[in-house]
Amino acid sequence: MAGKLLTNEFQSNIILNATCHSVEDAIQQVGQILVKNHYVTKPYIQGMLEREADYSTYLDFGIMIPHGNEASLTFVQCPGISILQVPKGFDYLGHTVTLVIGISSKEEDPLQELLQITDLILKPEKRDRLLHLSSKQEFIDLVNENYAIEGEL
Amino acid sequence: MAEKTTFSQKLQKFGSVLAGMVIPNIGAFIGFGLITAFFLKTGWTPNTKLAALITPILNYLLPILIGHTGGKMFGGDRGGVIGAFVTIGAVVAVDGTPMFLAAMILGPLSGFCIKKFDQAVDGKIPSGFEMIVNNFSLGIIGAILCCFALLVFGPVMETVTRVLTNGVNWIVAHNALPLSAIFVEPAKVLFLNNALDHGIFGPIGYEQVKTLGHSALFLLVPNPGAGLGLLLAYWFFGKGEMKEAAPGMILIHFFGGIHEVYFPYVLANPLTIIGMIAGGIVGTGTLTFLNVGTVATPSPGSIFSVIALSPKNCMLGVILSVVLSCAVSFVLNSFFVKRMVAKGGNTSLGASVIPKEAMGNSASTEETTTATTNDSSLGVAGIDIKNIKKIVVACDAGMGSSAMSAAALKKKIKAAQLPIEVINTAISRIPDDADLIITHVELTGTAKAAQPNKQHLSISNYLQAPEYDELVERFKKEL
Repeated sequence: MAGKLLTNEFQSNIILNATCHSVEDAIQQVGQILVKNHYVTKPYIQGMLEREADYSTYLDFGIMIPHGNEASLTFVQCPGISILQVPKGFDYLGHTVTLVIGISSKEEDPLQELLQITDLILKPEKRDRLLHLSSKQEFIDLVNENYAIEGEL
Repeated sequence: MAEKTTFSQKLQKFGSVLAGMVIPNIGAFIGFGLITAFFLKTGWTPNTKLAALITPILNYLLPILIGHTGGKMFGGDRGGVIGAFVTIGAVVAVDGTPMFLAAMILGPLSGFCIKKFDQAVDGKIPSGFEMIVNNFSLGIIGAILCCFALLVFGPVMETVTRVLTNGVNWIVAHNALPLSAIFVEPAKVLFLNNALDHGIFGPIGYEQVKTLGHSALFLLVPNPGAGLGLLLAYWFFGKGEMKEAAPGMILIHFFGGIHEVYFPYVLANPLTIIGMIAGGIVGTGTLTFLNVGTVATPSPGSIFSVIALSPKNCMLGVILSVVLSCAVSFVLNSFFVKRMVAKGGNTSLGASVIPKEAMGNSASTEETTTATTNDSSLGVAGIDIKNIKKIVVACDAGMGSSAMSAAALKKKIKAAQLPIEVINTAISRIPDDADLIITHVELTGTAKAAQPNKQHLSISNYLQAPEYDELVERFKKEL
C-alpha cells in the first residue's frame, strides 16, 4: 500500500506560475501538457473546450478540472492528469481560478492521483499547500504523502 | 415475503438480465411484427417483395441486436461490438433458426471476456499502442469466440431449442397448452414475466410463426385478460386503497401493458392466483381451440399491441380469448375479493410488495415512473433511503467531476462506517443495480431521462455538497 503514486517524472506534467487570460486559454495550456506527454491527441483539447461550454468543470476553492466529453474519448491515449498553476488567477463564472487540473481519462478507470487530490482538497491545511505550491516537487510529495497515509482511495 | 426474498430476488435478477437484453430492442421486434402482420402470406396486405424482409430480420438482425445489447450490459461499448460479432457465429451455424437463446448467452459471455481482457492489460500497454491493442484484442478474441460459436455453441443451442420446441409442440399436440397457465401465472406474479416471455416462449413462438404464420405461445404471458378481470373484481367488490387504485391500474395494465401493477394485488390475496390460472387456461384454451395467435410477442402486453400483432384471420379469436379469460378471472376473483373484504383483510397496497427493480424492467410509462421515483426538488428529505446499497455519482462522461465527487462522498460514508457502495460513471452507463443517482443540478434532467425509474439527488457543489452530510446523517439515524 505504501510506495509512491507519482514518480519524479510527473514534474513534466506540471506548469507553475502560468498566466491565463481566459478559461479557453487555460484549457489550451493544460491540454497542451496532456498532448505533449502523449496522454491524448490534439483533438481532445477541442473536446475539453466543448465540454466546458456545455457544463462547467469548476469545482470550488478556485480549482477547475477541465476534461473532454463523450465524443472526444477516442482521442484519449492513456489516463493521466496535468497541473497548471495560475497564481494571479483568471475570472471564470464569478470565481477566480488559480489551479487548473487537466484530466485525460477513459470513462470509469479511476485515476488514483485524482482521488488523492480530492482528499487533499477536503483537508483545509493540505488544500492550502496545494493552492500555493512553490515547486513541482512539492506537488508530487503532497500527493505521495497523502497516498502513504490514506492508501488507495 | 421476507423469508423468500433471496430466492425470489435471485430469480428476479436473472429475469431482469434476460429482459434487459430484449427490452431495449423491443422497437425492432415491433417493427418486425408489423412487417409480418402486414406482408406475410397470411397477413393484412400480403406482398411477397416486402415479405422478403421477414426472414433476414428474424434470423439475423434480431439475434444480433440481442447479442449486442447483452454484450454491452457486461462489457460496455466494446462488449456490445464483440457480442454482436460472436452472435453471428451461432446464427450462421444453424441457418434458419432464430438464435435468441444463443444470443442471450453469447452476448453477455463475450462482453464479459473482453472486459476481463481489458482489466488484465489495463495500464500495461505502452503509450501510443492503445488503439492497436484495443482493436486487435477485440478482433482476435472476437474471431476465436465466433468460431467457437459456429462449431460448438450453435449446434448445442440448436439441440436445446429443438428439444424445447418439441416439448412445447408435444404439449400443443396433446391439447395441453392451456394447462401451462398453472405454472405461468404464479411465475408471472413473482415478476418472472419478462424472463418467461422473452426467454422461453418468444423464441419457440418465432419457430411456430415460420410454419403456422402465428403462434399462441406469444400470448401466454402478455394476454391482458386475466389481469383485467382481477382488477375489475377489486374495483367492483374491493375496499379501501386497493379499490380506489384499481381504475388507474386498469388503464396502466390493459392499455399501457404494464402487467406488474396487478402483481401486488395477487400477492396481497394469494387465493386469487386460482382465478388467474383459470383465466389463463380459458384464454389459452380459446386460442388453441380456434387455432389463432399473434405474429410476435406483444410487448408491452397491452390490448393495443395484442391487436396490432394479430393477423386478420386471427383477430376475432384473439379478442375472444382476451374477453373470455377476463370474464372467468373476474367471476372467480370476485368471489375471493368479497371473501377477503368480509374477513377484513388488509386493503392497503404496501410499497414493499412492488420491487422497484422489477418495475424498472417493464417498458415504463408516466404512471409507473411517478410511483417509484422521488421528487428531487425536495433534496435529501425526499429520498427513500431504505434499501440503498449502491450510490452512483454520475456526470456526462464519467471522468473528472463525478470521480472527485464520488471520492468525497465515499470518504464520508467510510468515516460513518456505512455498508454502502459509492461508484462514479457516465450518465449513459449508470448500472441497473444503482439505488440512488447523484448528479450536478445541471445534469439531473439528463440523468432522469436516462434512468426514469430510479431515485435522483441533485447537488450544486461537487466537493462540499451539504447534501452529502445530510445524506450520511440520515443513513446513520435510519439504518
